[in-house]
Amino acid sequence: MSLLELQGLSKRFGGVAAVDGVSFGVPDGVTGLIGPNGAGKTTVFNLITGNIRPDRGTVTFADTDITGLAPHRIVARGIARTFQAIRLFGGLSVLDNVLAGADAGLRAGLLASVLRLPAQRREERDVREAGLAELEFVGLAGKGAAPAASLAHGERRRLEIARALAARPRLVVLDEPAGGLNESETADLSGLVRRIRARGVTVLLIEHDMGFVMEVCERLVVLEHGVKIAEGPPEAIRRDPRVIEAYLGAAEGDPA
Amino acid sequence: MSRRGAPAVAAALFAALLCIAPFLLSTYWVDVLDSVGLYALLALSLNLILGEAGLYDMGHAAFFAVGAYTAAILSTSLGIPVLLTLPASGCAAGLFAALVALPVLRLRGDYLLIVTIGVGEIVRIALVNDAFGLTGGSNGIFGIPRPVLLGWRLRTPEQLFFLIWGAVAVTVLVFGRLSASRFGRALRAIRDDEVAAEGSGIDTARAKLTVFVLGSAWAGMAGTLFAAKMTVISPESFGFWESVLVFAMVLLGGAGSIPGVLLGAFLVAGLPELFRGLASARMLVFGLALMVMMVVRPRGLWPRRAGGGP
Ligand SMILES: Nc1ncnc2c1ncn2[C@@H]1O[C@H](COP(=O)(O)OP(=O)(O)OP(=O)(O)O)[C@@H](O)[C@H]1O
Ligand SMILES: [Mg+2]
Repeated sequence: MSLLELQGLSKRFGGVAAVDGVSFGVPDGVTGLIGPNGAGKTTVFNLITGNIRPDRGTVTFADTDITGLAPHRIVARGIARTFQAIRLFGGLSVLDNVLAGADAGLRAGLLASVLRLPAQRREERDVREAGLAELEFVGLAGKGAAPAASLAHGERRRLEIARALAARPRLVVLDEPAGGLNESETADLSGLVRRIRARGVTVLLIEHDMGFVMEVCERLVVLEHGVKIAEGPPEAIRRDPRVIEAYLGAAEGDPA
Repeated sequence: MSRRGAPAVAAALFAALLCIAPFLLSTYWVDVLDSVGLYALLALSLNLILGEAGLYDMGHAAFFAVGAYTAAILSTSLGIPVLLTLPASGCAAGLFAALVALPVLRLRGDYLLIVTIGVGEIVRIALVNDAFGLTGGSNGIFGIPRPVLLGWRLRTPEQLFFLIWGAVAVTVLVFGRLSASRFGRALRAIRDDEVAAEGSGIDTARAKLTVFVLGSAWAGMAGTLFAAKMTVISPESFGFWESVLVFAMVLLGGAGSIPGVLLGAFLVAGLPELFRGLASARMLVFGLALMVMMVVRPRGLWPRRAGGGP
């Protein structure tokens, strides 16, 4: 059984079947979830991370059913995410953004914080160190004290990834991590995704940039109109007639 | 070093000035400072809710009232020394806040604002109507005993000054440390983006409940000190206007910043005393000043820095 298993997931918004009976597994490595605009990719992510409850179907992670758990509980179980439209804490420093991502792993209570008990101080010191290491990992070393709102777009994408990694997840789900990045930033991102994988963290990502997807993903899952239409290694997906048709039929999202 | 040193020096200077103030000022002005101190307690506790967590609570006076009445009832009818009612006042206000929180904390922004205003009004009306036959209606409760601290009976504004500002000092220490901890970080994350905070692994429902109950319980304990200072309390001290003033202190000084909120308490509670002569125009001037402020310095006079330490 894969680390993450989706079984017959369905979600309707009013009359729209955003996700319709989708099942697939996410094994270790890097998996891409692709499909034209409005295919239901982000909705699948929201179902995995608990932001939305499915009408039907189950999400199983590491052999336990996590369907319908609150998002913060799912993070605590080992799934961290980024958002399609970057969602940072603009009023917090860059480092505090990362530390917020580590919160689920912290133990200190209110009293320990007020009394600054040794265990609390140690925990804070350790989490700061780990946070700085994550910043370095994503290439934001030295920026920890800056307000998050002051970062450039590409840096924000990376900060969001650092925040997700700070939760020490077994799986990260990245919603269009290359969105709005230029060519060289996208190339850096491929390297970053590979290094995340090298840490033993499984990656599931949504991306429209086909060059990027073909390069970093070991497996692809293709959605169209909320339905899974193909699944397999990138080379096979590239030649799949249904996939080609889906993309040519769509207004946007040219796979070239 | 100097960037961290300067605020520390300013804080030490401010504390030293406060310590000698009661010996230099007339009794009238010491009494004004006592009021400012009580407002500072309320503003600091609301700052946790409004400034740190971004929860628009405009009913803070309700929890202040619950604490003050708990202290008044326990001390007058059961003869418990008024300062010993502090834990009970805090618990009563905190418990009431927890009850209110359940339906209310799901609401965002303007809705939360309106509902908390409603809670404040309900409490005030309940007090006027002699709730449970204990609150004395619109006359309130008389004869609250003077506070006794370490065997000293505190009567004069000068004596009360050290009790009240001592409480402010403790509050600054406790809330400063909370703000610098994972709890404060979580609250500010919620304020900036609740969905992202939850998605980052923060238990947002629990953090919001905790901060609302803690801030309200603290207002309840401030209520005890208020009852002890006044010896008489009545519903008119706990109206909508009080909630508005405290709300303004937090926003004016700089939401989320402890020095900013203290400054806000001085300006909003203290300055009008300087312009007593203008009695009727006072509030007009105050309202205009607030509006100008919100345009010129929308983050407050002394905002919290986003980067760096707490
Ligand atoms: N919260 C919501 N309320 C109503 N409809 C929604 C909601 N979220 C998504 N939808 C609809 O569900 C469908 C799938 O949306 P989704 O965001 O999952 O697509 P996507 O594959 O991520 O698209 P894109 O590539 O443009 O990001 C769309 O028709 C969208 O309008
Ligand atoms: Mg999407």
